[in-house]
Amino acid sequence: MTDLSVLLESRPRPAGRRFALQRLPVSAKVAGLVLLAYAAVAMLAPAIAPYPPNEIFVGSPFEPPSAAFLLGTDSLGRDVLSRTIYGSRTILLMGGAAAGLSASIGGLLGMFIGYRGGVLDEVAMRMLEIIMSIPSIIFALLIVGSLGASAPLVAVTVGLLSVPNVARVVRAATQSVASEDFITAARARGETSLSIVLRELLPNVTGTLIVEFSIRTGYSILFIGGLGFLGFGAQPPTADWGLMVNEGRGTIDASIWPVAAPAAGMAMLVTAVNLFTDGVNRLFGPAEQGGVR
Amino acid sequence: MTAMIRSTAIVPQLHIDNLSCRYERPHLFSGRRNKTPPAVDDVSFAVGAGETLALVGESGSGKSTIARTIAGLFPAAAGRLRYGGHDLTLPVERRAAELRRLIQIIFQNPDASLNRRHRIGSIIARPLRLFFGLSDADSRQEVASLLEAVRLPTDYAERFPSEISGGERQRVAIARALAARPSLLLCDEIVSALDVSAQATILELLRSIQTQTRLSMLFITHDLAVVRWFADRVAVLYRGHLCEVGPVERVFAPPYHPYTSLLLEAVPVFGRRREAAGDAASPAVTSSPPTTGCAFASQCRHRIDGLCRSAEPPWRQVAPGHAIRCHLEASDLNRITGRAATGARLQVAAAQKS
Repeated sequence: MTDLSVLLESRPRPAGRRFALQRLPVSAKVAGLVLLAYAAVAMLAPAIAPYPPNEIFVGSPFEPPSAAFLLGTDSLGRDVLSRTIYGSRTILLMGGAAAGLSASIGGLLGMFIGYRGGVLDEVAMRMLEIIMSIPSIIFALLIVGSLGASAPLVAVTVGLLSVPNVARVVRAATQSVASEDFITAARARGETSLSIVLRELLPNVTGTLIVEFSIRTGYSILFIGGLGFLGFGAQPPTADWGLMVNEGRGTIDASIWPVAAPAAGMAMLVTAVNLFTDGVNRLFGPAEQGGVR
Repeated sequence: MTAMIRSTAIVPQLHIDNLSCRYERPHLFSGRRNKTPPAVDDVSFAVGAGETLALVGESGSGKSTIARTIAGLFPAAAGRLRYGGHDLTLPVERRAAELRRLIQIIFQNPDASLNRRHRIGSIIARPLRLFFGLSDADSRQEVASLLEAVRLPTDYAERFPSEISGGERQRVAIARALAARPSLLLCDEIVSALDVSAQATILELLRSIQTQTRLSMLFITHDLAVVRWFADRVAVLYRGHLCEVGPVERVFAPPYHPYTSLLLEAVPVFGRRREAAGDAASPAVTSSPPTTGCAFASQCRHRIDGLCRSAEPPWRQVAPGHAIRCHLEASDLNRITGRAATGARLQVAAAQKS
């Protein structure tokens, strides 16, 4: 006879209140730890960097890795490890600021046009499509080239260039929520558009916003690195990864380390961000909308 | 015409005169409007203080459109709508806060009408803050008493809508509407999504609230048993046209409008055999409605050829407060549709028992 007691056992309800990050896939958890390590290195840079990043001739030029210079020195005898450590500050700050800017402005814009619809939606979407149809690297070079290269300007430019992409995704997520009766109920109460967007819609599209922020972080880091390499980012002697790669590439036959170290730092950072994004998307993405609180 | 439909005993608060609504949008560039048949066509009725008017009809008959128009969520194409001294033709965005407070709407599906990211306490507190300026701390007590009023435990304030049952959620939606201290409640199929026992609880709850507060209700439903038990008066709607208006006990007794009679027959009653196929014309809508004559003509078993399809039927007062819009005389309707009374009486008896 079969044992039926298993049918009577009440299975404990999966704890819905469990901290959402605990449900991330392993790859994303590892990526998250890597990102935390990056953040720690960036914050503690003055404490852990063995030399001041911009001080020349702390060693002779093109020294190979040694106990004194773990990643060797560059053409001006600066310590590559110290410069790489300091470079993480620039890139994380600029990448995070750009992503935050695009997610907040694009999010608000997307929610408004998704909620209001009609002619406003038509006009706004066509304008965003026009911006998106221009290659962003050309757009960025135009702005930064004409206004002068500086870290805040680059971050703002890269952030603004991502606004249309975020707005488009958030608009779509908003539209599916905006037709629901609780929005109609809010309208019937006489809530203002701003209050409907912030109080009723925003909590229902946070998943999408988190994913978009994450995607935009990875994209911005690469973009900013690229601009730095082209000389349109931070200016010498700043320890900036893109700039370091550019400075080191002419003397790559003398020493590969001044190029390899920042390039590897960039590659690992972007990989980690992308893996983390992937996991976050599985938790908060469109298919899971409403699943997380 | 309106005066005739109006119940004499109760002072009407809500006046709907010759309301028409259309679902159409002018083309973005040409501004040309495509001619669609109106969803609501020349509808007039009134609801008095403390009265419940049931609006019945099949899906697509314009019931919800009327409720949304009254709430200011849908524009009226034509007609005069008044509530007390307020003009209801204004969209909700341009209405005075006082008017928005007085008229509250409850939707069919509480899963969609409650924001799932908000706790129940904050859902109910929102109208308190909006209409009475209560801070979150001040509204706590009020939220608790509203939860009690809809017979929910007060600790539900801390829960999310996903953590309670569908019937309980609808009670939260009612509590939110009551929080505004309305005098007119628009109930748009509010029990259709619930099982029968939850329906009964909700209806009894509304009834007791109504006796305490003299709340008026526009109760939209397609469930005739609910109408019979719950409403004071009934308005029968067919494809945006009113067919019959009157007190519940009169509308549910002969003479019937041919459509009302068909609706009553369509109610399945346990133990009653289906009538012969040729007899029961399907109320299902197949073609677009006629532009002239009676909207129901093509479905009507008692159609007078040459008249019903070409001329608008007149309103006939068959009893005090009871009017039928039909080309047939009351005596003829009584004779022809009286046969349906057998089925209807069974149905009414069943409704009263339950």
